[in-house]
Amino acid sequence: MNTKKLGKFGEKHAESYLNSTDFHILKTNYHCKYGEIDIIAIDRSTPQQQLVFIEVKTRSTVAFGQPLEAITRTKMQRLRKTALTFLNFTIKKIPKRWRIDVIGIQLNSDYKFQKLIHLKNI
Amino acid sequence: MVGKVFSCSFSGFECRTIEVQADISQGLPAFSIVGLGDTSVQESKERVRTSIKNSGARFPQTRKTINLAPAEVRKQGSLFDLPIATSILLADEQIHGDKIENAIIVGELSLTGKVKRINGALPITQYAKEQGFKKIFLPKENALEASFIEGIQVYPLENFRELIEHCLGLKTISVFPYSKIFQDRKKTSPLLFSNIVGLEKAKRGLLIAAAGGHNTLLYGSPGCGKTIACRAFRSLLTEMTKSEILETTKLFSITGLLNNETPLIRERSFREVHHTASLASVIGGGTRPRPGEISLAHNGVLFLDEIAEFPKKILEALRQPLEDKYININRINSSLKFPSNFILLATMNPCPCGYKGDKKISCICSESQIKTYQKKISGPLLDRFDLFIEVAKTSMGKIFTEKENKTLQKNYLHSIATATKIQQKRFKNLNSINKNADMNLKEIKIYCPLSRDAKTLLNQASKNLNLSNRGYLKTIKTARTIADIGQNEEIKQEHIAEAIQFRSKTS
Repeated sequence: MNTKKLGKFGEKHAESYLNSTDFHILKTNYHCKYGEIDIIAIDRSTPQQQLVFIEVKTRSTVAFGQPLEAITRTKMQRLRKTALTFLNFTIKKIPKRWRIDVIGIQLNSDYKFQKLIHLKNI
Repeated sequence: MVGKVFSCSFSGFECRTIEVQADISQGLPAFSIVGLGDTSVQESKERVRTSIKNSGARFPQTRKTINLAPAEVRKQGSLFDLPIATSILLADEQIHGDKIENAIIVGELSLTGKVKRINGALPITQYAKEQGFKKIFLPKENALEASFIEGIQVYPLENFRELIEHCLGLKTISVFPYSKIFQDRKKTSPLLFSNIVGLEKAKRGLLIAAAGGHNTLLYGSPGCGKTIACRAFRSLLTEMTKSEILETTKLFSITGLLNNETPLIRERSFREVHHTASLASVIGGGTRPRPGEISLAHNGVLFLDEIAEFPKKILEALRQPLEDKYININRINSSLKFPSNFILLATMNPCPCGYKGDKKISCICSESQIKTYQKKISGPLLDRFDLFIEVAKTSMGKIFTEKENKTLQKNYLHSIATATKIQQKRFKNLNSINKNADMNLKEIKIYCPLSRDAKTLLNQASKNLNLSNRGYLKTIKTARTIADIGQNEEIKQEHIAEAIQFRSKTS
């Protein structure tokens, strides 16, 4: 499995996880010149119906570190910029509250799902 | 969840309890250490992470914050590795804290999880005991050194896994048994004082110096035996008391000069310093202030060969510790105090060519040359010497005629032991004073009764020799030692006369 496929595989997992909880997915793979956001969704469990930008990280082995360790400061900055672009150009009414989440997905060596970690509001 | 263990830091001679707190909270993986740690404390992150992983425990993949309290104390060194790793596992609830309650934990970690030796284990253990801690966990290599403190359980650690298993109750670390401080009977000095041929006056002077702890300056022409006599002086030093052993060993422990072969300094130290030594190495100091040679010579001897060659800065810096028996090292962010109670032994030539006053070879130095040379040692420093010994050349023919006398060394040691015993009895109720040389004006008034003709002689001599007040008192102190060697209660005229003879510097 190459990295692209691995990423897609993880994102599919994340989407099904979100659908099973209180999230409503608006858009996947949003692009702009600053970067990409894997999933944009609305968290219906929050009173303000918060808009959530979600980055999915998938790892098939921990030899190079845990999935969440791959979120560096520059990556966070890129995510924030992309999110702001989305807020400015794509939707009409900018919500007061929005946040960025990270979902880390860990696969085992046979590419079977092992663990999912959802970190809110990082 | 917050995990908390106790550790200890030392700056200079003083220790402080440091509370190591670890907090684990949700968030992206991050690891930060706060609490004014230096670079080696910051670097401990990497050592802690890998050694936790390599010890069979799990390094939590969340936000980890370590706080070293109190926050205003500067922390140095790698000894916080072990407590930081332990507190993380406590906060992550991988281990229970009940087995390490009331305990101090110190140690450096290697990447494999091995616990490595630290400096200052002895003072830390003593401090832990004084603070009421019941246990101390420290590197196995430091256990012997720490076991000389009674009343605290010493747990030696080979690797971090042992501590984890101990806390989980899987395996118990056995307590390192308390070791008694024993005094050394045999001397390691290869050169005995009785091996010195001739030099009777020098030998007599050094004997007095050893008996009463007096600072001594030897001067004479090159090759006359000043240095060898000073080195042989080592064989005259008395046994250390237990508290002295502990004090000197603590200083060596801080400096990192102890190992498993010599976990205790049982013999009085004899520190020979070369004249190219830097100020900080002699006095103490550096960015992480550590004791200098004068502190390592605590309860022993500091030997300055060719004192005139030393930079003036070093010599003048010796003045305060010679008087006060301790040294204050002041830096912007710390002020440290190290004990430095030593006998100063020094040698010099009377002039640059070295032959001034020699009977056979004539001196070629000009008057001004001699003046500059002798000016290198300032008056105030000279004033702090109790004994001045002029060493005259002995004819070499004597070497073969004089038989080696085995009882000679015994006799020397016997007369020193006699004088030491008298002094111990005399000063047993005084804390800071152990030797005649330590006496102040108050003690001199009480313990140095002069006979009438001794007093007359002293007053007359002080006028003729222009003795300073300090010189006057030092003469009495030397006379006190001479009287002690002869087992006399009262200081008589002959004792004063001999003391004055050693006081007057002819050239």
